[in-house]
Amino acid sequence: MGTRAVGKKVAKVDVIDKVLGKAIFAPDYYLDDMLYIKAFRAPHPHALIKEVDISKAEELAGVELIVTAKELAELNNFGLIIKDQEILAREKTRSMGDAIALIAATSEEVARRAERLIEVAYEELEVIEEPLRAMEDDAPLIHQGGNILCSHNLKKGDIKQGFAEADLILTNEFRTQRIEQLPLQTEAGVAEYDPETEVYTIWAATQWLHDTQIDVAHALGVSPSKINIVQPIIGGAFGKREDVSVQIHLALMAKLTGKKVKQVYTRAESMIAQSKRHPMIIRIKSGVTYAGKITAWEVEVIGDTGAYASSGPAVVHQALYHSTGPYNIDNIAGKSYTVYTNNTYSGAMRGFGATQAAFAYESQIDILAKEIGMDPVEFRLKNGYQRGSITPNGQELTSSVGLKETIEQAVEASNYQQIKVERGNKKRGVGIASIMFGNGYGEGYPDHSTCQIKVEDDGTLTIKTAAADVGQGVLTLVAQIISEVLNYPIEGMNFLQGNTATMKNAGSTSATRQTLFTGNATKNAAENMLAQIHHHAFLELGAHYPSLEIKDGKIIVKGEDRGLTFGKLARLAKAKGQPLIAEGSYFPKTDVPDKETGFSAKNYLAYTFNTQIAEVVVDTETGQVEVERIVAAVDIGKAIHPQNIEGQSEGGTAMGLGMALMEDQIIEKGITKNPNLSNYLVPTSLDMPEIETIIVESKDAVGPYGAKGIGEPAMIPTAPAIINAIEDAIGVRIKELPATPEKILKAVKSKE
Amino acid sequence: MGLVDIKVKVNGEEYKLQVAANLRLVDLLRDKLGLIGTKEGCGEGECGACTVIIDGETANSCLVLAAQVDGSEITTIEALGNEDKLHPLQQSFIDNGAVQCGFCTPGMILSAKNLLDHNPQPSEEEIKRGLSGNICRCTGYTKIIKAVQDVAQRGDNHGN
Repeated sequence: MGTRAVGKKVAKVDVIDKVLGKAIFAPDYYLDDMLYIKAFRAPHPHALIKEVDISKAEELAGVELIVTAKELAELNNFGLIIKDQEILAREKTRSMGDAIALIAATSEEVARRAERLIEVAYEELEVIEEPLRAMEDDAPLIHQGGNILCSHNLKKGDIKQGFAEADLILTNEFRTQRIEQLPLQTEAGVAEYDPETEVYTIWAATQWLHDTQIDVAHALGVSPSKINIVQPIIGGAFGKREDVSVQIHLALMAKLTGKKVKQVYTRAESMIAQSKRHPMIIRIKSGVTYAGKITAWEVEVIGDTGAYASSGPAVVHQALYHSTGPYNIDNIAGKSYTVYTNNTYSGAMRGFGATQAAFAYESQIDILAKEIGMDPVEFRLKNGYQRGSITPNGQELTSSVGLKETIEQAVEASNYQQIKVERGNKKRGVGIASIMFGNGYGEGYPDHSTCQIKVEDDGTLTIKTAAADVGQGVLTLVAQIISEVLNYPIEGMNFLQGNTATMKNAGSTSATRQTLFTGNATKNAAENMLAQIHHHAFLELGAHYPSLEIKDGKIIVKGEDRGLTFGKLARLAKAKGQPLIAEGSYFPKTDVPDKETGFSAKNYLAYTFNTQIAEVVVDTETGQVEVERIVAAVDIGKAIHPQNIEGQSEGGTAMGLGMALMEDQIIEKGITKNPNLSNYLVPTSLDMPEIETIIVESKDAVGPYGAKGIGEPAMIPTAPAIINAIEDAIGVRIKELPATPEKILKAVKSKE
Repeated sequence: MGLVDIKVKVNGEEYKLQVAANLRLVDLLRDKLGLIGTKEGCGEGECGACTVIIDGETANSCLVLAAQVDGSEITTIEALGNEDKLHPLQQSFIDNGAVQCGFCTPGMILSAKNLLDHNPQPSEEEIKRGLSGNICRCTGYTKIIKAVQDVAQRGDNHGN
């Protein structure tokens, strides 16, 4: 036993303040004499801006400053991958919610009133709602350079030969909806500008401090060293905090007004002006033999990225790369298109395209199994990946492929066989879905993390990592790894607030990468520290490392009554000019995929597998689906914190249930019809089934202690598992999400 | 804009205040009294992050005007425990891993407390119903429900 904490349930390092209501989220910052910032946003999704009249608003008492694009002529655009977003719209609006003016006022209420006094004359243009319309030759251009932002290819084997070998060829089209990530805290922040140093300091939550820093710096045309982003406690993220929201507006207004400024989005503003999950159209043509071998897989993915690219180019091709599922298929052809429309822009959301793809491929897999008369579990086991399988990108899976174990253990723990056999109640059904998900950015994209540990004079540890803890517990994982290496209690560790001025890049909390990346960087830092401790202890105690025991912040000579505390050692080392500070980093290499084929011998570092089995009851009178139980079997290599893995699994399953049955941001003619929680439905406690999570540990070669990530794959199989269960229950196949009661009733009727 | 005089007891402390007639209770608590544990997630009574207890009943403080609570007693998360002695629900939320981002947590704990105050031995269904006005986007509710069950089973809903 002792204090080593890997594999154990420990309290999250930031949890006490959270339960006491003392955690400081961005809206909780109150600075002296601060002004409130409000954006005036476009009501028209696609319109030329003819005239902006701010005169009436400027006269309102309490309004300190209003700026429009005219005053910002020298500033640059921003955007995660492509700089296509304007700080304020110049000549035209591209989506509802584009900011046209910024108001600074002495109170939020005055700012709101000023917003209503701004008058803009527009000339409305054709609003492009559908990506298929956007792709037509005569569609008006939303940006110069065409409405198809980019396309990607995937080629493996010989697709013609594959279809020639098939006994049966089936084609289906699947559609996924626009989903709001809905972190419970809306976008918010405060900022100040120091005219002497010319440094902007911005307190606002982000999934990636250093990426936000460079996007803001670029937009303002200053060096990144002049932008300091500080991380508050983060009120959820799920991909929505990858894009800049308030940061540039705040920085700008802090400088122009010379005062501290604060901005908090309303829920409607957050839903209309900030990113969404990409709605996708996914067409799959598959060839299969009656013996159950998949011979060919052809796929087309069209992703609606809305008015701006955001992460769109990466999200849509990630959908393509994940579009064959975890199955051995020799002959593959695929193409994806990322398309601009006048809808609210799409960006990152949990699963990053792979979630949409999984709905399509796991539906298709079930359809194929049914058509050839094979049990869906048997069909998956027959075709599923094992060690040595080759992904569609041509990567050989050389370690940690626990797919089959996840299927077998999920079946075992669920009522799968029982429901299949008994069939007493025809409206009860069971569905399975299995997925895989690459950890990290992969694809040759530079990806690294860092961590720094310092032993203080009093023997406590100060930890610096810029990794964003969005609630999943990465800081706790960091603490566990340090405690494991140094045999040191977590209570003695202090975590500094994320800050670009004092910390190195840890990459984003996205791509299910923090366990692997920051986990490895931390292990590296802790091992570096351990070596320093042994070095200095050897010099002080004259005992070589096998004879030293390190435990609970003490170094003891085994079998003797002498030793040192960490604090004493730190003071001695510091006196020698060698303070106990250890840095660790992790910077692995992956391969850029080939443009024509997507080939990449090392596309991702590791793959997480997840199989879920959903048990549902469908009411064919009302169309209501009750999900009674979900069993999730996750292969995460090694569970560093089993309870937090369950937490991800359960939270992801809830989000997947929302995707399957209810969530849908409805945009008509570019205008969001339900920008509120009364009409955008998310799961509540009443919607939740019993969830059982089974942890499969097929140790991975590259992750810390064999671990792989869980954040995104936790949600990916849920929607297809539920949809497959509905089909099993009532024989109705829903191909367009969400499966609302209306859609189910309609499908039931058309079947009769 | 009219001003209204109110007398209100918040977490046991008496306040005599003059407030704008249109000031919401959530703003009074956060902006004027500095009780930032009460969160605002939607501003329209749908998410429950701003839940407080008013005279023994939960309410969404974004839907209540400060002027309406004249003469009332209000409990916010700040009254429930401190670093030295957590409320049993706070401890149970920690032990069960029921906290992720933490933004819903204060409102969720207050809804749970109010449920157990009225119904010390709720069934699972009653817990689900009691928490159904509080949206949590992170946890899937499973561990939150378990945290409340644990406290109920121990008959442990102390605190005020």
